[in-house]
Amino acid sequence: MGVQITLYISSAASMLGLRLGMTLLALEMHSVKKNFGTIRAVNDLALTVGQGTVHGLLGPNGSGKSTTMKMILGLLRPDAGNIKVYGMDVASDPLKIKSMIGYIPESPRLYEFLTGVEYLDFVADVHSLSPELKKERITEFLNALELEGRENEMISGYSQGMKQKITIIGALLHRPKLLIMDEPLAGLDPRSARIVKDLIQKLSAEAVTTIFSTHVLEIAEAMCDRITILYQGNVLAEGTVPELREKAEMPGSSLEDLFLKLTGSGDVRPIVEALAK
Amino acid sequence: MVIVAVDLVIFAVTLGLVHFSFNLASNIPDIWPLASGFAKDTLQSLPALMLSFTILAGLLFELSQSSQFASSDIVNFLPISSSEYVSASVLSTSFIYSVILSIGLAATLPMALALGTPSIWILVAGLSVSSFLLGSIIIEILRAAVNRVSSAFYRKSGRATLIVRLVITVLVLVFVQIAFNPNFLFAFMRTFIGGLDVSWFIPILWPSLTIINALRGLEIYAFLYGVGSVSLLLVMLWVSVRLRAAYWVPVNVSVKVSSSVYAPGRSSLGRLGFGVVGSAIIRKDLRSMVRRREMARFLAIPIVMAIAMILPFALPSFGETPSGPSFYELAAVALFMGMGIFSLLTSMISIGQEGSAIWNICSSPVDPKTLVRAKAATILLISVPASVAMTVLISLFGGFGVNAFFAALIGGICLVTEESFVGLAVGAAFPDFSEIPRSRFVTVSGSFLGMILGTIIGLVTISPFAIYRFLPEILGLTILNLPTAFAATLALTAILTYISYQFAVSQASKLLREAPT
Repeated sequence: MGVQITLYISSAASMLGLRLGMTLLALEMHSVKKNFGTIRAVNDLALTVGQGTVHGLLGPNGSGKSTTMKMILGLLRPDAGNIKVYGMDVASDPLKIKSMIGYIPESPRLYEFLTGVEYLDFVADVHSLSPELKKERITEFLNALELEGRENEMISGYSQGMKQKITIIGALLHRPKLLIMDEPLAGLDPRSARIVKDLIQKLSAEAVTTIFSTHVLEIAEAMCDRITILYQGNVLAEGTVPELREKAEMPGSSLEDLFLKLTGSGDVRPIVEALAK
Repeated sequence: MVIVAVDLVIFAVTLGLVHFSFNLASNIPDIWPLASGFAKDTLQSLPALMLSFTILAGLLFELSQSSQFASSDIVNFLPISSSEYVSASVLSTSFIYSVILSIGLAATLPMALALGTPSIWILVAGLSVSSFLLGSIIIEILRAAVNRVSSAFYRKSGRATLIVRLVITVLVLVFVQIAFNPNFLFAFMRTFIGGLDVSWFIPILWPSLTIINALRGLEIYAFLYGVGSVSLLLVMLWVSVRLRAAYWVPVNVSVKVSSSVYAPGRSSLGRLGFGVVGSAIIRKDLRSMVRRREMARFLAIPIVMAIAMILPFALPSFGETPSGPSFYELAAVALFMGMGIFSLLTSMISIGQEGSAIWNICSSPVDPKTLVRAKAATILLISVPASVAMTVLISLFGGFGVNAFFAALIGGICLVTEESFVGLAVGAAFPDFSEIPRSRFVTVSGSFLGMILGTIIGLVTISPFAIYRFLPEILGLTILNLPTAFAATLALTAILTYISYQFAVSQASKLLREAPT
């Protein structure tokens, strides 16, 4: 009874929020810190992501993007601060949080001894999908990402792109409310990359929130509602692309120029010349 | 540097021990003929022993290496010629196992001195080194050949290949165990030496024939076989380089496991009381056990254990016919020990075998209790039916009475259950997820701790039956009757299993909260 009332209240709040134009928060991070030995991976990070938005995490290698994503999912425990996903503390109910999230790691390792379809079946079972539903979704996704006919082969024989497709399908099978994608388009052919990009936009329209990192800044510029630039574990800038331009006082510039200026690596010409010698 | 230091220390220790033993033996007239005969046999067969050791050790290393990393060998993309690669790989393999060569050379030096043939030792040393290198070269040839053959084979046969590979791997491991059993080795050596004279057509025996002829003073024959041995080494090196050049990069092979359309149904594991999540993990782990070549060594454990324990008693040299209740009692103990060790080891590796794919579990809504229960169930689904089947078979062949049958049945099931949970507790506390250069699945300290705990707990579990069975015979005391022994074993199993389970759950919980990076 108590659970039911909570659900009613939460769905009513959700409807009210949407009608009143308020942004419901899919993610709230406050004063989050994470160290690996003496290395400070994330330092006093504060981040909020609205429901249904596509939020880009940008930053040079080692800036703390992957660590941040893993902490949101509960794969890593922050040393300090708190993280809430859809209002729930990540540490308080990790199973519920994990069932709401679809995750694509930076370099996904799959069970190479399983076939593609066996792996997806495993993921669907772990998320307790019914046999009918999992069949429908697996078949649908395999066809969409052009893996039909190869699903009964062991993953060890798949190309990098095929493995990435399987990982993406695995992350989407249970229709998560929050998608965390670390370089999701790496290794995909142009057609599949387009399908995934369009899918993210479509899911966003259906109130699915996406947090993703990429080094391809054109993709971030085209897809993200908001962008956070991380540098050495700190938030350097946050906002929409026009807001970032304003902050950097670079009107009309590309996201790449903004990124290079904000991360202090603006003029790369001397490096290029030195390397070309 | 460490390997060289270890080699030198081992060389010195072995040299000292064998020198002392032969000095002692030379002063005892009754023993000296035996000792000198043994020394002669050892000198003659050392090159062949070195060759077979390198091949078998190399094969075992290949079997324990994850196939995934074998195909993404970074060295394939570097500007290195095939001859450079093969030479470096041969030297590396030989270097890794050089401690065995060190033992062989150190042991034969005092023997040669005792026989008054120090110059023969120089020949033995040279030919043993060349045989050692030959073994490593043969491993290189096998690697390249297997690259070619397996890719063609996999493309054609699919699922059957996986089964064939599993069976072959288990057979190889069993063969290794038999080949290195000291009793068998000794018997083999005597037969081998006796037949050497007529073995001229087997090229890998030429180094031994060189030594035999040298010992007999037939210099021309010794020279011819010696030249043949060196030529064989060079020819095999050339073949290895050619094969490596031809099959440079391993082909990524697709194995089609099934050609039927995907049709998910309710898992039959559900009928055994497992939930959907638990069943999914069990199915995955069972597939892992059958399909991953690095897992085959664990399936071979019960067979290898049984052979290792029974072989000395089954060999005719012991003059005992392998029959009668005592033999079958021994066989039962050996098989249960094998099953116990199988349960312990497979459960110890069950968390670590996830490797870097552990994120799949950590990022999914899997609670630690489900994970631990599913991991334990995977092992028990194999070991409990196997224990029951073994008990029935041995009881039938050995003519066991009802009491002995139930004691073996209950004892066996308790043992495998307990070892599974103890192993799981250790495996969850000390997992090793690294997969390069080869998968270990559990840390070295975890392995030691697990083996010690497993042994103690195994002994504790079966102690009530041992007290019931042997105390009246040894001391004439009857402390326990059979029902009490049953009850005590069941109680001990329940307590130890529960403690291990709780510990495993707490460790799994930590793992799921802080996934390895």
